[in-house]
Amino acid sequence: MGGIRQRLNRKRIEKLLAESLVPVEPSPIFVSELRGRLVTIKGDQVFSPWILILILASLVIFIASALGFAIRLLLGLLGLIGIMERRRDQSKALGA
Amino acid sequence: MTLRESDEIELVSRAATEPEAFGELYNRHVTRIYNYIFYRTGDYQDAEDLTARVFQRALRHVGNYQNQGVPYSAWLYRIAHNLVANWHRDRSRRPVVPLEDHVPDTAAITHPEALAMAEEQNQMLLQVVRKLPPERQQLLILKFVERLPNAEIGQIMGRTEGAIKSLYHRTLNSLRDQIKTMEDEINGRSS
Repeated sequence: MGGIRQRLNRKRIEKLLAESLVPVEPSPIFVSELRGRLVTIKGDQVFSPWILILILASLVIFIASALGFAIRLLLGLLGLIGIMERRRDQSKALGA
Repeated sequence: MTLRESDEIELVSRAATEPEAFGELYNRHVTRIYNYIFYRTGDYQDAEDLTARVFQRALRHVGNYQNQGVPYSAWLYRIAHNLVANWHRDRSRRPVVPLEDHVPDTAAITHPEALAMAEEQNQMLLQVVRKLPPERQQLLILKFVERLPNAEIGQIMGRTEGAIKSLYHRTLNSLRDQIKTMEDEINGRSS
């Protein structure tokens, strides 16, 4: 500890810090692998599972409402055809 | 605003949709963030793990980043600071981690005894530094490892240049006191 035990003035502490706190280089393999993981778009990184669930739920609701609308349209058409048929039958009956 | 700063803001705005833009930001900052985490944790493996988490989090939230006149690095340092704080909380049972693999720049010292003494001195100083409050550690890392001027450190730490100077002065005083205390403890044990 002889080095530090010397008179600890501001300059000396700064010199010691400059000698101890030196920049370190991360491993090149680590840097390139992490970059690869970050830059390559991966579904599980960009989209969170909640967004995926939200998209699926929206799709199900959209399909259900579209199907409901199609069934109503079909029933309406059938009803219209029924009314027209009945009127035709009635007019035939009156003519006879 | 400098050309580099405006270039960086443009990169950040593109990074949300363009992976290559984020890759460029990563290239610019990975070593700084790694150094910061390494000196806060004292372990290469943990520094790599936490650096990866910093950039994964940054990628997830880069779309939410708002330029408020501070450099993008300040945002990354804040993420790193929070992750390191969590790391310390998780490992509170062993607050001091030995820097066994750390090899300081001792090329100028050739004598084995002098080399051993210099190494011992470095270890002791790093131990003392790691006992300082987080913001003081951050200041020393930015000043000595990154060699940033007080104004830039102030931007990163969200303080004025004057506040940084004052904090630095208090940090050096605190370091001096702690080194003396540590030496007294060592001398007490050896005598």
